[in-house]
Amino acid sequence: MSDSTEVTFDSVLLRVRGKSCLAASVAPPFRAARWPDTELLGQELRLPDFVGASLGERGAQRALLSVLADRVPGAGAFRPRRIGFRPLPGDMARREAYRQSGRSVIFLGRCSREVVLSALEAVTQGLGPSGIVEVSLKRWDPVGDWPTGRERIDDIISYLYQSRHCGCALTLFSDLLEVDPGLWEFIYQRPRVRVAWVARELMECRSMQDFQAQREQSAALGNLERLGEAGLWPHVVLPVCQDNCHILPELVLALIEGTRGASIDVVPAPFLDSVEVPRHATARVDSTAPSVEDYVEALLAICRNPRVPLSLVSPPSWVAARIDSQATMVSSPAGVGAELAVLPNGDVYAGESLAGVNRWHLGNVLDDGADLRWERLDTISEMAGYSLKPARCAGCAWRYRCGGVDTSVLLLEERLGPDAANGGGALREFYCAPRRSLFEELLWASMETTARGQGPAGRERVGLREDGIDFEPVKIAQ
Amino acid sequence: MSASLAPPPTGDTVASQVPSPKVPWSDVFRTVPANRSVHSLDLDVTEACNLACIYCFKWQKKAVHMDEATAKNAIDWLLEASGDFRGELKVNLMGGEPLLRFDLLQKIVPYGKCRARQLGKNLHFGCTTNCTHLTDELMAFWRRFGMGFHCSIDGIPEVQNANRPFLGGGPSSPAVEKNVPRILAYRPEVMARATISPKSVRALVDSAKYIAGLGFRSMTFKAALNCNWLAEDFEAMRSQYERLGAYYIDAQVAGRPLEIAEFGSGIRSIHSSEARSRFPCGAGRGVMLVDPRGDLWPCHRFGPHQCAGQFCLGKLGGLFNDRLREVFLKYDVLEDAKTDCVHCPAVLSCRSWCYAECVDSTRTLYDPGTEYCQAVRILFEEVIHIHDHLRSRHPEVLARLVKGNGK
Repeated sequence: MSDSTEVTFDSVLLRVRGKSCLAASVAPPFRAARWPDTELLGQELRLPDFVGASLGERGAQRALLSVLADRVPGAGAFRPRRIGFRPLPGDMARREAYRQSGRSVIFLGRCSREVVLSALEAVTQGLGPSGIVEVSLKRWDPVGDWPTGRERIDDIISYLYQSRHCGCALTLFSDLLEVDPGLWEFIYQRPRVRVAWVARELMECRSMQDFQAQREQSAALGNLERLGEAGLWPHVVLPVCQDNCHILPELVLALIEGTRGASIDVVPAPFLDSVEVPRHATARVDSTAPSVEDYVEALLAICRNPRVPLSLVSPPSWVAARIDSQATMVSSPAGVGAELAVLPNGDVYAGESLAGVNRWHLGNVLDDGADLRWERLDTISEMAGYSLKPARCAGCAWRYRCGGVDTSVLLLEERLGPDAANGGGALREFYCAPRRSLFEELLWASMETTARGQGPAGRERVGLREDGIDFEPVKIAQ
Repeated sequence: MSASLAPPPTGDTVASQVPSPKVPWSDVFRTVPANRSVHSLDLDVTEACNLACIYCFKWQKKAVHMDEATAKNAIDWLLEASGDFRGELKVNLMGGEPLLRFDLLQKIVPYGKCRARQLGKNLHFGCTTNCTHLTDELMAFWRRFGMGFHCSIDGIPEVQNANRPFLGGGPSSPAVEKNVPRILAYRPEVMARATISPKSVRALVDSAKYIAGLGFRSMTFKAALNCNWLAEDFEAMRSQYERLGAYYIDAQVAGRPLEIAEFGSGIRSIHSSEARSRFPCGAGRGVMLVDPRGDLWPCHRFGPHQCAGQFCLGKLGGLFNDRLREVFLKYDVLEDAKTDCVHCPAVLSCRSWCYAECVDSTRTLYDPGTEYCQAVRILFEEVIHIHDHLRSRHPEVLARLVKGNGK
């Protein structure tokens, strides 16, 4: 038997790693069971000659299904079901730009006050007073362009709070090179404002010594740490390339410690363009990109480091949220239709990555006001099915936990072609491979934690001695 | 105030006296308990105090001050250890006299408020003070951040000066009389906490009237059980409580705003249909203390002097003792406490014993000792008397008190 065996049959995913064995349902409701030793599993299956490889046989599979049905709550999940299972639209937990409880808007570039207010008026139609509007300012540094940036931020906040009576979460993308001394107080008084920094300067760090040198020299890094020290909880977009990939776990830990818990979005270099510049034209895997294997290894090392809180690092946080979720996810948070993009000329598109694509052009807020072509967003529901097309994801055991590839990646891949010189297929691998490995890793980890916590802890009293205390078990009254 | 106890300038804080390196944020995160239900943190920002109270439970009064990094780590820890709790989180600034560390408070309060709001949580700062160290700048700071006060004041000048003298022996009463109106002008509902010692118990009623005369609308009296209580002291307590009860009844009937916490909660407990709590207090469960060294304790009454410091729950940046915390989480008054509690008439209203006082007086977490029980029974008898009196003669007043409108 090899060290690691993978079997998927009916709706059950089975992993044998060393002597341990893990069974999980691939479709909702998600359930899992674990045996620390395949010998124990063999005893439960009443198959004396059982080894991990036996699970390729139909008889052993049937025995396993009946065992799972006995010992796992809600084991209906393990009932035989065709691989082609598709979630119903009602089961899907989607995040869309134009939804009942909130809106997501990205202003791409230095938009005038007129464009900002017209766009906000258009996108907040029908939003109730308890709704939340998430606004991001990209491709323009409102912190560096301070008097104007300050005015624009206040325009947005005062319009949403005072005119629309709804909540607002504002993210400012900045290079943090020139920071006004009043920024700290300004953000403190506006608690839903966050500053995000794209850490391009850290792409060239080949070692932690390089990082320490950057720390001493870089004004941006210094300002980022000051933001963290002041409790302003910054966000960092950390690009990964060949140079810094092998120190990624240390780099992430150092950033978290230096900023007192900033959230970090780890982005492989090929996707960096999606953060700052239009993706539709030029995204490519160039020489600075790490290999997919190295990137996955670095992410797994982050997951295995107990000093790194997973909730702060994406994509591990994205995966961790889905391990225990019983909702069927559809696409990633950055998928098509997750946010509306507004250009400085007033053009509105159905997503940042789609800015400039006619099919997703919803209109111009200066010309059309609020009467944009909202019906084009309806096709987003088609995208959900698109991202789970059997041809793309059917072979993946994690598809229903994952929800399918980011639709914008798929569109990009489609446009470039799988065999294109710039590697559309490799782009998708950067998306899928880490998620597959992280799901596997985190599911094992969660099962081990559960195994340790089994059984009632019981009650104890403390008895006091001269030199300390003793624990005495208490028999709980019936 | 003694010059030796003055807080050192920033940068020369406890870090220079006790090795306490800045804890990396991720280490703070790892110290978080498995059960994330902490919602209130006592923060000993200093162990120094400008008073020398005769019953002080602090095991030492050295000029040991919390440094800024430890204080920020403690706030980060609370925000993590509160998990999904969406109510108001509380940081109670304690000591020593916390206002001696105004320099530190000016840094950590904005930090904590800011970080909590960024994380979508609500963090409130309060402070227990001896009311001797107020400045205009401090009051402006308090107003700006909406912070609370809890005033320790024992009563009439003779009692205050005897129980709570300045370190050099000088009377503290004049400073208190000068500062209390400033606090009450800011927050009229601030509660006065008076500690009763065997020396001061005979002036209990005079002290209550004096405290009310200063402008306090609510007050609470707690006996310092670490003093030497004699039988005649308890007799004096009984007669004083009888007079205090009469004073309380007069105030309630006349509609004067006066709340004596023990009486009010005692009357409400008689009418309460809720089952008695399993816990004497929130120590070790929702409440914890961080001392100036960054050590975590169940509450501000615990310290290294008890049981060789074995009640330490952990250290910021170190491992958290979840096993010990389970003892507090699963404590059960009626199962764990001594058996004669079930025969005590005060069992329904007695819910405020102190774990640390139990340890100090009987060396167990489960028995508060005879002095405590005696004091509680005296109080309970008076509560019953007040309740019966109001029920027979002023039922409308009783109804108001039961609803909790007596404040």
